[in-house]
Amino acid sequence: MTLSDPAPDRLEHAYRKLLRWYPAAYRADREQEMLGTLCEMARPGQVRPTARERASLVHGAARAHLRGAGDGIRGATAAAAVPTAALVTGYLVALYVLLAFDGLGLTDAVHIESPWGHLALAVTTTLWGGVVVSVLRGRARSAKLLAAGAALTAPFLPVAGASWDAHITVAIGGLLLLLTPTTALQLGKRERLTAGLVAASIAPISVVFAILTTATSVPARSRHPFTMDLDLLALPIGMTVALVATTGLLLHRTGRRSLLTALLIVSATAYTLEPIHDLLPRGSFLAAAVLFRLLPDVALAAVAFTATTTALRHLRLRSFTRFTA
Amino acid sequence: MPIPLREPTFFILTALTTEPLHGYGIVRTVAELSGDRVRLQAGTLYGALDRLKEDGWIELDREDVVDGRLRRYYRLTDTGAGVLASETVRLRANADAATAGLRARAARGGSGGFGPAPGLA
Repeated sequence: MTLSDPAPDRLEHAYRKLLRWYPAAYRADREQEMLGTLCEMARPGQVRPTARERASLVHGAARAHLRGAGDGIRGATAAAAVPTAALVTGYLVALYVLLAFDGLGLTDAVHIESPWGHLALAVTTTLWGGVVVSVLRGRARSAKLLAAGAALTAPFLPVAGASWDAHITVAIGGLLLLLTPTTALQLGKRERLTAGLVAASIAPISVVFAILTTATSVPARSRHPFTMDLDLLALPIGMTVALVATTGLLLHRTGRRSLLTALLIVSATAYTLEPIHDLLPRGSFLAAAVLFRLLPDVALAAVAFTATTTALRHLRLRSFTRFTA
Repeated sequence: MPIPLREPTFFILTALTTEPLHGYGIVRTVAELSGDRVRLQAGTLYGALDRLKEDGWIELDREDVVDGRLRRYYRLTDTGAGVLASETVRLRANADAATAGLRARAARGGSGGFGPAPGLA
């Protein structure tokens, strides 16, 4: 083989083309190394990859994609589990706070008539408190058991503001945790610290938002159908705040501050528009409904989508770079 | 990584017992150790290395650049050595059981047994 022999270049080019089947993040880490090994393994004078080499690389690439997707989904559910737990906690706390305000004329959104209602609320809250403690201690099985218990007791919760959202919130939260892979709930020491931080920031924020939205809707019933109450808004508000906070924590190290700022502005705008809409007199024309009702919803969906996909992509990248650490 | 180990995995771990090796070094040593029976392809090799690294059975030893090519050398961790040791115990027990059975068969006068062929003894 002489220096002018074009064979190695052509072969290397062919290998490079085959390696493009691998995920980009994987390639960023492994491409040079694999290319070196492939060229070393090649027979002298070989000009193109053999059928076995092709098959092996395509198969390897498919497996790398599957592993990446698996890691991404596990990571995303793990990332969602903690905010969900925190959100439902915040929701239950808000329910208690609003109950304390009941009868003061501040809001008519929440009140409990029977002692059984109080009992059901206490049982569900206790179970959910157990879920949070279990998640933060990395006890996946007890977290799931308690989440199942909370979801089962949710239908017995008192009806708040003639709406079933309290039940749905707790039930969905419980179900989400049940569906989370056990391994995703077995958090490491550092992950638990991050989870604790996320939970500690989300729960109070969702409580404050829930109370604020209820307070600004006083007296709720007089302005139907454009009424705002805790039940309707606490879930999307908490969820979005949770997603933005999680994304913020994830993006902190990658330095993508501009995206985070944009997310915060959009979500803040969405929530500023909601109460304004609610303060409009009843029977406002359609344009107002579209502007104030639809716009925040679209903004919310956009924020949720961006935050989720960014978190997913980031987690997927990290799962690959972990190999080189 | 499931136990019993698959043959390529077993040989990759065995190849790394003596010294840290890079990709091609592993392929060559595995071929030698297996009497040229196990010939690793790049896709298989790196799939296995990813999983072994994730499980903490091997780790990165060092990086070199030779002829403009990146070489990463991997070494066996203590966990990996422990797994390989228990795997050899398992394989030896299997082989012993088979050997004992074949010996008993030969002693009964069966043909094609473990011992020297009848008539040669």
